[in-house]
Amino acid sequence: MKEITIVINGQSQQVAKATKVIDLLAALGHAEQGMALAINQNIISRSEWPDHVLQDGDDIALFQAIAGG
Amino acid sequence: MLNDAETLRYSRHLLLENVGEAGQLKLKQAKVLIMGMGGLGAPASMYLAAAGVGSLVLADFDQLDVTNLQRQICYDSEQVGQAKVDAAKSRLLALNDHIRIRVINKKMAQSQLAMEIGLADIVLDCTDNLASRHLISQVCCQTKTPLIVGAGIRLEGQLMMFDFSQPDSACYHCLFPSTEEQALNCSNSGVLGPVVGTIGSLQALEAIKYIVGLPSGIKNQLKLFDGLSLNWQSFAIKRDPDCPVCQPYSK
Ligand SMILES: [Zn+2]
Repeated sequence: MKEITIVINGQSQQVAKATKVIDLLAALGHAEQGMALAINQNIISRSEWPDHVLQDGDDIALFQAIAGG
Repeated sequence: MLNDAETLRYSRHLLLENVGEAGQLKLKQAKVLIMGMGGLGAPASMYLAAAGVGSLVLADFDQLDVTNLQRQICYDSEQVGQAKVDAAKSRLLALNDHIRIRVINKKMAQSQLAMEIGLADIVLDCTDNLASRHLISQVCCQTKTPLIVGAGIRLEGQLMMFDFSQPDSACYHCLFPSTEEQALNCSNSGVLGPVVGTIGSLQALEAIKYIVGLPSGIKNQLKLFDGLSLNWQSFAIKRDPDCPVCQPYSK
């Protein structure tokens, strides 16, 4: 099995096994500025993005800082 | 001791086991700094004034604009053009003249901000830009002052609490390290009033809970509010060991 299934903001998606957070963001074409990312309701610090490996079934939330008020 | 007028005014607090007379006296002695008197600061300040927080400090350097009235519910149409903090002060004192209100009607240099934050028991970040949010979190971290952050745009809200009086607290920078301003703000993207009203009200709730000594349900957590579905999502924020802002102050 070379692929795993993850959920990104409610949408199921196939990615290669051993994909790292930073690879996923690059593949999604997301600008990293102002983004935060959580896996299974835990925020993954920016400094962990290059090393953190996605697991099958991970529930990923990607969102931006809201500045307004 | 509460006087007769206060005992009557706050009777619905006194009935609460979680507040009572001891809690009301803590509220009376508390000092809360509200940074930003827009759509979040308006409801937050009104609830804190109504609750009898003895000392409120309101910081904002804007004048009231007619476009603010759609959501910033502590102001009146006749106050357009006035300094927001002055307009808010008169409204809040009309609501409750048992409290003291001080206003800061200018953009503070970091040294003054550090002094003001150091004097506060708790700070509410109700600002509208990332630069202010990063600076406030940094200074709260330095001065070990608890911080309740609210934000809202369109139909989305964010709420978080960093209790910097505790050594394990994460900070705003751990969550959102980028200091680059975004294109989206209330001025160009729009916002529904009750969305910022909801978040601002919860900032006041968390402040009251902190002051009377109730545990926070959102410490080191980010709550995302979706105004369309009314769903909330919760995420645990852990301290980033590489965070340049809070790491120097750990322990
Ligand atoms: Zn930090």
